[in-house]
Amino acid sequence: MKTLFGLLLSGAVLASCSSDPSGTATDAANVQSLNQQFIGAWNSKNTAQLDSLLADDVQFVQGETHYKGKAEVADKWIGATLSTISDLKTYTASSGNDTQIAYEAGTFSTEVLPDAPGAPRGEGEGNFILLWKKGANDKWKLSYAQLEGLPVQVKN
Amino acid sequence: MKKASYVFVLFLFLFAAVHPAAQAQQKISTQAKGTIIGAGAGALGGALINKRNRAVGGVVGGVVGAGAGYAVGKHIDNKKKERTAAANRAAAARAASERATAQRAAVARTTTTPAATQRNGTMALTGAGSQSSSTTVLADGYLPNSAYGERDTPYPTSEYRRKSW
Repeated sequence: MKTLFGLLLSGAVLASCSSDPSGTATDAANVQSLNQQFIGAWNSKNTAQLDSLLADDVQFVQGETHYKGKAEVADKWIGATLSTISDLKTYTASSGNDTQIAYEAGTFSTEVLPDAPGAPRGEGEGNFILLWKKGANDKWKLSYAQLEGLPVQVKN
Repeated sequence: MKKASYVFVLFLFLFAAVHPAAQAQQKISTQAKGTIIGAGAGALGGALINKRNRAVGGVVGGVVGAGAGYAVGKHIDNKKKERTAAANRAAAARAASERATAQRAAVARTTTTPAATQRNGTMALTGAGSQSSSTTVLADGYLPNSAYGERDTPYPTSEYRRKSW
């Protein structure tokens, strides 16, 4: 009886010491889900959701521009671009999930809305990288975005 | 003494054979020139060597010398032709290179023309999508960069619109 009790006790101790891989997985980011939220907010023109996904120290780099901070990025990138495009799609070439950082990179395509009556619609393409970091309150925020746009062609 | 006079005559003949031909500016081919020189030199050489019958010696020497002279002339002519062909090839390559450079310059002028007109405020109208008079489309169906030259925009130096997202 004593032996059986000892075995049960040691088994319980070993079980409690074993690592829980599922616990680690829940800590890691799901970058696909984050980007779906982000791109979805762009397509639904939901500025409130887009703002909520930006980190306070977010940085945006595109060509010769480099915006720093949530206010500047929200104004000069999101605010200035949101009304000019629709049907934004991303095509992932590389991604990574970690407990503190996650990224997704690849190419994008979007429809460029005419900027004047009678002007043609355009098709924009380019390359992107979105880098997410876990904030102090364990919420994932967009920390860095870099876009490279290719010449916009008239949509036939 | 007699030998020395024959040698003198030989040199005189050679000079007389080559000099007018050179002045006649290529009227005689190189092979013919070689044949003449060879025949003359051979004939004199044969006559000198064969003292017993100078006529036979001269004829034999002339025939052999003519053959040798023709061979030498032909060799020189081939060399000349090779040099001419190489020069022609080089000239053709230079001409092709110049044509390619001119074509590139012409293409560059063509592609920059719409941008120049854009800067002047009148946009070139091309492309299938341009139905309206207010439509502004650059060559090859690209949209123009309305922020061209504005330094606080992403692509201020691009004449094509590059910013979409």
